[in-house]
Amino acid sequence: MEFDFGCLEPVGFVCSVELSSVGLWVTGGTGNFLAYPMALAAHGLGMMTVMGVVIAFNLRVLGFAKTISISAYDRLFMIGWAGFMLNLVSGLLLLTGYFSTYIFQGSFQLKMALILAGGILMKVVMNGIRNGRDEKLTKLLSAACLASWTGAIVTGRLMAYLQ
Amino acid sequence: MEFMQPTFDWLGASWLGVMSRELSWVFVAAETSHFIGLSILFGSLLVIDLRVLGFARFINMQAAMKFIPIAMVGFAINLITGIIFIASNPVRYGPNIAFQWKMGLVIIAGLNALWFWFGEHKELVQLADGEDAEFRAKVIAGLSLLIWVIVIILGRFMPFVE
Repeated sequence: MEFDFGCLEPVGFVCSVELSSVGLWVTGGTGNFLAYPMALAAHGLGMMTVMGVVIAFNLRVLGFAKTISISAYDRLFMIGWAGFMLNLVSGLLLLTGYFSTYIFQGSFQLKMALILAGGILMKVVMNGIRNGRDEKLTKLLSAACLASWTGAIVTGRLMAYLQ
Repeated sequence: MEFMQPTFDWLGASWLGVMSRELSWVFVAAETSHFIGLSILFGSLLVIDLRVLGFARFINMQAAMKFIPIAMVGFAINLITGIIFIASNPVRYGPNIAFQWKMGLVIIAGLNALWFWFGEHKELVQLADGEDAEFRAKVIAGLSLLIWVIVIILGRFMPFVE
């Protein structure tokens, strides 16, 4: 093999992703060592934005700052979506560069599941409010939503420590 | 940041420094909490600053101000966990250029927040839903978001400029 960037097993598709031009660009294999820290910084910024909006919205649903109308949060959601897109792009870049490490990692798999659950719960909570569903149930789902996103941060951080 | 080094060394030799080095989970827990603290702080600032900037002008201004104590909780989490980082490795952070800029900007963000509180808060809470804030208040809110965005990016760059 010409390159030695740690991708040894399993050879084939997993390695080909990591050794693709995008993968090599992210890990510095093309001589550009700024791509990785920039993708990581963008991922951090996007995460704080998404999590920030998730926290601000769910605190309101749980009864904090009740005089803010839920519909006033619409603009904030736009910012949240922008943060999510930033994370999706930077996350895909990071995943491409370290495909063989992340794809088999339990903390990464759990993180993806928690993001999916957190996203679905945001939608369910929002729909519950719009349709005037039982407040207790909505609050319970809102707390679960916060827990999911918090879990996503925890598992995301653990990816750096658990192999 | 040599003037802070004696304080960093003292922190490193304290029980906090010893504990954070001996118990491997302490640093990981502090790092995770640092992310969560910054999310709490940044989320609260998004509500307040985007309202003041007029981007989310239908957020009730008085209710938005209730996020100030939440932002302070986020900041407190980050201050405590930040101290743990320094205690765990007192020689690592002082010479780091990204850390130096980050700390400088955090101080500027603090001064900006004081300007917001003492200079603009009284007038801002009078705003009706949908009403535009003064230009001066918008400058403070814009600066606040910009500074914290740069702080987040600098924090992420710290391991790469050692």
